[in-house]
Amino acid sequence: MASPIAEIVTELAAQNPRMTSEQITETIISSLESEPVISDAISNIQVPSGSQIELAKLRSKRLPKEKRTKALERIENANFFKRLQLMYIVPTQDSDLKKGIHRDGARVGFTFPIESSGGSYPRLTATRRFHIDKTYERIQTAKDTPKQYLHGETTEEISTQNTKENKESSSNMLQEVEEEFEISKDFLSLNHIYQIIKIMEISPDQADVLNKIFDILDIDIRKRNRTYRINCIDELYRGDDSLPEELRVSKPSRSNISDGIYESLKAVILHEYKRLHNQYGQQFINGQITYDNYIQTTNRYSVYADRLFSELPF
Amino acid sequence: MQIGSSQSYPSSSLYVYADPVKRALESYVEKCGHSASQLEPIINCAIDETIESNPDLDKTLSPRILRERIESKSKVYIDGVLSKAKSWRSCREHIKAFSSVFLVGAGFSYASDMPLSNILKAILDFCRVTGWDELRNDSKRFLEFKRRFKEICDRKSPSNGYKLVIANFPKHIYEIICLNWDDLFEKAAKSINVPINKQNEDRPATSERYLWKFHGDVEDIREENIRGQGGWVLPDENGFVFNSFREYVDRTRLGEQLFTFVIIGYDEGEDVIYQQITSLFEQDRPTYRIGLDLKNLHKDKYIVGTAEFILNKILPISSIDAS
Repeated sequence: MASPIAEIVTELAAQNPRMTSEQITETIISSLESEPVISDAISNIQVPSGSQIELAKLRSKRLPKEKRTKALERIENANFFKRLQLMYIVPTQDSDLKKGIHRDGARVGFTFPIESSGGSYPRLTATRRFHIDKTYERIQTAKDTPKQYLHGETTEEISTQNTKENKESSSNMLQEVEEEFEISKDFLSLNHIYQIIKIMEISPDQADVLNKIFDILDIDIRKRNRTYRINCIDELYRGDDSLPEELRVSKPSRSNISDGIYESLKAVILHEYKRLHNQYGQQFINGQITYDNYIQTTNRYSVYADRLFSELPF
Repeated sequence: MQIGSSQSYPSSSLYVYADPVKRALESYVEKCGHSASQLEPIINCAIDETIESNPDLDKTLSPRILRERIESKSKVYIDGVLSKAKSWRSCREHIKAFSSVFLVGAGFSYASDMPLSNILKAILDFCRVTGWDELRNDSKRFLEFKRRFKEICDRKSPSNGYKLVIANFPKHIYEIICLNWDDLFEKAAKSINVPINKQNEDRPATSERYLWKFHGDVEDIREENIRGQGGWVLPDENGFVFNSFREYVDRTRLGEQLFTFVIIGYDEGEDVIYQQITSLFEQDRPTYRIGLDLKNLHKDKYIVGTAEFILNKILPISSIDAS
């Protein structure tokens, strides 16, 4: 358990006595986020449960001093990895309450914080990289390296099977987004956008799915336009003429429905980011959160929004 | 496609967004019923602060999100400034009720285009000295520096903020403690015909209600640089307070009076000023700070804004009588 990471934590804490343990963990996560191997390793580490840790703490009291110090070190490490796993793997406390998206027997983790009913974000998880859906990866790579991924199944078998699965799962995911969108009577969240992007990736040419997505986005954009008295699509291109050409937002060809969807998605991402930034900005102005909190949170949202934005073609 | 891949953009491109964002914010400020020109320094400051605050992150963001980030963050600052109406009102009421003492730092001269300490280096270079230490030890060059600075001052006019402070002096502002070398208060007083007592050297203050200039005065340049005798206190020093000021505070019992203490355009980095003035005056008194430090936006008694913009919100005499 006492790994190099734990040593780095100790060193970080010694060098930055003002950093809280949460900040240290966040720092480590930000540095590790580009290393999927490490994220997988962390998710596989066996960490004792809370009651086991508590029990170990009680037992350590009876140990002689030297052994007690070692035991406490191990407990501290276990606590650290527990926190790390929570921050790295489990997206938000609310995501457990929400219906997960099950596909291929695996739960697809949300990577964005899901807004709670009170409008607050219980935990921010988005500094970590996106979890690429394993089924999707398998489909994408199946043609090139079937043996490596398919364990004896033929490419045709798995493709047919996955096409069916994809249709089902994209419909399910879409239905879920639609239901949440209708129930919340709010705007589409960045989390919803992420799911829509995934659906688009899985079912790029299913007309019924695309039409439904288009409808959802259309309703959302109208709601935003009405509430904030702005045109989200115009906003997407606003001021571009005063920027160098390479920095402007490229325009879709409008030759098919998916291009229209991508344009709407960009407009929604941009507006949702702006809305969240403003929301936290107001909280800072009103003294509800600190300046650092405001900066950290909005920085994270720019990263989330940017990742989604740069996922979209054109 | 790998989600989360990021591209790095050249850092120089960050300022490409300054102009479009500025135009958007000016239009926003006008829509809110304020003058964009009065708020221009705040807008510039907000944009600079946003661009400079996290260059590493910004370099990785795509252009549209980056622009939105700069605009949204700058707009939050502007909203914060404009949402301080309650603090403006409270400060004004305190000044009206108890009168005030103003402590003025270099930031106050910003609107009059006076060089701030980061720009002063150019004058040092021009006088062929490498830093404040060298200047301090070379009286000839120091004298040249003072003369160059005076030449700059001679070309500057006091902003409306200076005139407003003078217009409220001495009825609503008992004392003005100016830590700047320039003569903008003196020029403002002349322009609106208000006589002022100036105390620019450490001699007994026999009258009442003064403009105090502990750190030197461009209107009194002397060959030797002796503190308290017309000598200038440099930005890397810890500040200086006249003995006569302490005697004056005792004699007039200023230290025992209730007044509103206003610190404006001053970064409060000088120990001596803190120990002998700030800590003494702010104790048990309504104290307001006015400046451009956007990180203090959420504090009740910190009013973010330029002197030009804020002073006519907080001073009882808020316009200059042309006659």
